Amino acid sequence: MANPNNPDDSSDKYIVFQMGAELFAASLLEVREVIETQTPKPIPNMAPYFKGVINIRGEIIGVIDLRERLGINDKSPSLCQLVFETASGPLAAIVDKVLSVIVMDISTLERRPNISQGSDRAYFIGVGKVGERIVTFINLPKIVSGESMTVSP
Amino acid sequence: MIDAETLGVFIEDAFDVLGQWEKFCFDLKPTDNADAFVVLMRCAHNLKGSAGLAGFDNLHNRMHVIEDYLLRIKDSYGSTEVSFNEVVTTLLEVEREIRRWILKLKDDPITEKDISSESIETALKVLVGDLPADLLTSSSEERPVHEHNKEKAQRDPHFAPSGDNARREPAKADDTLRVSASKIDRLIQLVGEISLNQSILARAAVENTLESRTSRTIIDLNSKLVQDLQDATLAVRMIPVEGLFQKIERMVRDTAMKLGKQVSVERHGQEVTLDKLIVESMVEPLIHIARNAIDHGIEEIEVRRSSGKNATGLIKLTAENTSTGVSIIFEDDGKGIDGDRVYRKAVEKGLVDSGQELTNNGKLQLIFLPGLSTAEKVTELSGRGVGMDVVAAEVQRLAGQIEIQSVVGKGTRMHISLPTNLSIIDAIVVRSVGGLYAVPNRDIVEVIDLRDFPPNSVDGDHEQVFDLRGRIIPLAEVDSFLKAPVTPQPQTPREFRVNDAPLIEKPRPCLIVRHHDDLLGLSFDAVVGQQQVFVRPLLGHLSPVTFYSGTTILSDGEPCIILNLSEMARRYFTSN
Repeated sequence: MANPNNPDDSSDKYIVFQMGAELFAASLLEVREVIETQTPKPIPNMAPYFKGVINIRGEIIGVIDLRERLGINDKSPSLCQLVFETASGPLAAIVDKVLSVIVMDISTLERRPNISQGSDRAYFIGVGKVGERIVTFINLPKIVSGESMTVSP
Repeated sequence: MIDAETLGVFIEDAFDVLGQWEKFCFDLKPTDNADAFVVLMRCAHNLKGSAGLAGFDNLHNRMHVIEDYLLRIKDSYGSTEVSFNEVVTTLLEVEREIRRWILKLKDDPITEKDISSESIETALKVLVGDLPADLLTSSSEERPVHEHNKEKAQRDPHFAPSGDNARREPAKADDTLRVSASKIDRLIQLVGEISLNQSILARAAVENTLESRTSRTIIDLNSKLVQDLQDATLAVRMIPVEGLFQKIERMVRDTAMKLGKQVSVERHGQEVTLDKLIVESMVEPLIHIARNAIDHGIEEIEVRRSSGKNATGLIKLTAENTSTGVSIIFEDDGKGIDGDRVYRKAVEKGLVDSGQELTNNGKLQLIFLPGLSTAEKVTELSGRGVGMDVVAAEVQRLAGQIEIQSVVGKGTRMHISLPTNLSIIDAIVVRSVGGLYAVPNRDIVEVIDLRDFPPNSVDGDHEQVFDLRGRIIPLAEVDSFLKAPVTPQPQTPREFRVNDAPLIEKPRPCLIVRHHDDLLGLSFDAVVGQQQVFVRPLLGHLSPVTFYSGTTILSDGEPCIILNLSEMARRYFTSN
């Protein structure tokens, strides 16, 4: 739980972003930075949603299309990418745009409502209401955990 | 309490001294007189001194006792009662024991107080008898080197003496590197020149004279200086292979003695330098190769005699600079390896298809496959079927290649080619599947234009080959190893027309790559340029693709994959 006396505590802060018509939120602590969308350099032998690599201040970072990964077909031009760490190195996730940062007590979320509970949904935290909108809370590193993004030539 | 840096320097010093000690033992001749021992005495004395400096009082005292014994060996050397062989063996034994102490200290300095020289002293007593009583009493009682420390300790409880009762915080030895002062001076000089030029340019920027001839000259000069600085910085990490070779020689001598075989070691090209990390990583593989050579390669003395060979086996260690890096060659004149036997074993274990046609040389290379051991008897030293594959894997990890040659009855030769350093490589940048890729020069035998070597289809269009100056070489496309990302780039036309001029065929570049004895041509769209690239480790998500060996950033700031052509060639030849 967040300590209300400590404004620097970010553990209950979430970054809200839009993909297609839906709103999503991820823990602010997971997101290393938000960058303006860069065109990735494509890499062969990788899954279709792996869009390539970009160079951020000398560091090479893989780019995934989060919309494609989550099966969101409505593609508006992307304005930004969320950079986050995974066990295999940093990745940048393509999203439509970032809206805001909110404070949310995660224990109030509707955990796993009637949504299929396959193991490929490990990234799914729950659904909550922010203002009038429904927001899906996800765990970014778990989006790609446990699966190989490579394909054999 | 000892800090990590002091410990690191001490460890480095100690190994250096022990290396000289070892060298002394190897160089010692029966005809030498006591004067030759000056080197050994200096070693023991230096070690004692640096142990004292580092606060290792117990080690200091032990070294003092050993020094006394050494003095006696020195005085009696050349007299009849001690044999030359015994002296060398004992001295090497002492050296090995001290080395063991230092290694333990490196991991945990607290163990210092437990060091006991009992076994060494026993060995030394055999050689020169007991020390005179006066020497013994003075050396076996505690001889504190830091008298003033102890006094201080009594006054100040916070001052921890470095003696027996001191509780030491465990400290790990820092990885230190000895660098000659001239290398550092060169760096300082270069940085000085570059900053001077930089300030001239900064001034030119203020005065708007960056376009002037003087400024341009300085910009050109600075790019040369930066290149020099890069070379000089890399040179800091370069060390000669001498220490590595010495370790191997040591190993060879010890193992040969244990097995009752006679072996002499020749070392060539010890001044050749390699990145410290590569030198260190080669220790284990070479030790393994050496062990195999003595255990299975070099025959028993009688066997050698009866087959007309010199009773003493020969092991030759050579380092050479090559166009692509450094070669380390390990040769023995033992019984050699029978390629057919390796092959049969590999078939028996299901490691290769029995239908597979292989040259004798190709059969020998099977020795690097995991799970293959041809030793008929598992010995303590080698022959458990792990080893050569680990050696090969380690060499490949360092972006090197290993090859074995052997003639039955004559001997075996291991050829290891290594890059000189790991981080910066010369590469050519090529275009394929619409993208740019870097290819390390060391992987390329040559670059040709297929217009000069027109390919022919064989096997009903299944395969293409071309004639490279009399040698028929299969041709594959780099693209076939790279599954294009979702949107394939439009194929660039092979031909284009300039005004009304006749058709000009575009160049068709092709890289020739080697896999052991086989050559493969890999065609691609275009050569873009040649440059030095800084190798970065592969992003974890990409690492399952074995055709990629790293990433880099090109001069235009674009990220770029470094292709592993050797792996493509390996895949081509092993899957066909």
